[in-house]
Amino acid sequence: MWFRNLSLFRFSKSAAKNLKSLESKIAERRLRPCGPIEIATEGFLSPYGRDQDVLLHEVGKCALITVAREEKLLPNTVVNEELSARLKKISEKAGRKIGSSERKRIKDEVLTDLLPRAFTRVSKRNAYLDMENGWLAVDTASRKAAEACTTLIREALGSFPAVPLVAEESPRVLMTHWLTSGKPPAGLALGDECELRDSADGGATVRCRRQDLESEEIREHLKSGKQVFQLGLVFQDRLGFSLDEDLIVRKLRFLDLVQNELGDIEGDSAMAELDAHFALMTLELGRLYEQLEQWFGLPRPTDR
Amino acid sequence: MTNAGNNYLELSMPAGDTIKVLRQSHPRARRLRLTVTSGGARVSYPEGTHPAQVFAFLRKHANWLERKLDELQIDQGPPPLRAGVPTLIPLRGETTRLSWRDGAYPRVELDGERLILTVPKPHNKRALGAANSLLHAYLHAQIRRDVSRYLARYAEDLGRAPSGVRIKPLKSLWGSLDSRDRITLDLALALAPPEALKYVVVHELCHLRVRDHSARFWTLVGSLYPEWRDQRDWLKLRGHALKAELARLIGG
Repeated sequence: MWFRNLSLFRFSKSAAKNLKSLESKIAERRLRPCGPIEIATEGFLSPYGRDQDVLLHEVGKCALITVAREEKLLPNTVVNEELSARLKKISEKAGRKIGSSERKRIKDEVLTDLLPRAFTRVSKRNAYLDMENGWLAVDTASRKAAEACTTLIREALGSFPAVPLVAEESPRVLMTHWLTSGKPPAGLALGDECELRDSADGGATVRCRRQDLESEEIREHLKSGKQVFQLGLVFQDRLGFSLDEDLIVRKLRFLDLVQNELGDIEGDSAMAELDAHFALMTLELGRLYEQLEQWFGLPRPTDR
Repeated sequence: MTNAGNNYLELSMPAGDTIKVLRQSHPRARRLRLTVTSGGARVSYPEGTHPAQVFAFLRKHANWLERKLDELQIDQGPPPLRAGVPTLIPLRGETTRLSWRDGAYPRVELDGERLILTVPKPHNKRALGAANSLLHAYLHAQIRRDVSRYLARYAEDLGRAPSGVRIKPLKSLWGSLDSRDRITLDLALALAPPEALKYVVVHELCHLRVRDHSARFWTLVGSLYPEWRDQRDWLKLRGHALKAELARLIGG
């Protein structure tokens, strides 16, 4: 349940008000199994598991949802092999070449025959909405997956203007300054990985892991004008992560201080565990967002 | 008119001077097209067009070409950036002095009305490369700052939001919106007045609702930003000079 990555979006107070109907709206878009000749379906699942009914888990002003996609596994190579076998058979039988429109029709036939027999795979992704402060966090580092998630919420609600993060302070410039000065803001410490790049297109790139970021090697790269595109950081000794220039949080880890606070969970049901983890996670991340907002300038959309 | 080298055509003008036009055949071109950008004049034509047809087309539009080149003042583009030599640059629509300083780590900062570039000595080609990428990052940061404010305000008015914003140097456009709702903005807008940038952002945001340039689209732009016409005219008139200026600042 702990989020491993964060792709963040912001939304306004009026958008947050619209979220009151979220539970009923997403219920209309519960994930349904793929039909016999459907390639993929998308929808919402219960955060507790596929066989549960509740689609929303709420703690205070935060709501956890799970978006899912069920898709048929039908590799192109399998389709093409079957297609060429059929084409060969037909052309031998008829003694002529097969035209492109006929080929297309036969390919459709192959798909119709193979799809009902294909395996299906369900991929799930958690996301949560902080309605008080207007944050949407999707557990992914992929922009495409994050966009797919917001699109699904938007489709369910009709309208959901969530804005991707565009910082007032350039993360690249600010993180480069943290590294050159060796002084990240209070509460933040340098981690042990970074990516340095020349800003020009096709410029040189250096990636390091398990590296002392204040060492001479790193300084030499900075002296030659490279800038920080991704930086490993530790927040208040509680969260470890790597932040990139689009403010996507990767490799998020909840460190020992947080894990210790979890203590013993009352009752050992999966639901109680999820509730405890989610409450603690949103609390910790809420503190991080507050700071991110301060360091980088991430205004919440305003109502006029 | 002569055929100068393989790629350029030389068009002689009545006044006696010649204009060089880059020629390019294009597999998807449907007709002859003459464009003028900060990079110079270019004619593109469908593959297999007879050279005489291209020449005739150029001759027909020679006056237009001359006028456009004059407007853009391409002949007297800004001098190339040289490490250690102070110069004047436009920044957010204001002329700003760019000066150089010596220091261990390359950095750039705005001190009052002066933009100070700190690069390690010697101020050679390597320092110039570092300065180029510093300026790139600085201009990027300037646009980001403004765009984040505009987005927060206008996305709400519009009820739609883009899925992302990219900022990079664009050749002829000022901005675009792709089919996945991502906005791309030209880095040169950091040199233009903030109002011009605001217009481009509003323009692209409005495309989230109306995907064409119909009257409905312009009404929507007008409802969000009534002074859009002035800014569009400004960009048409002065924009090419900005693109040329950007090329010298960030190299390439």
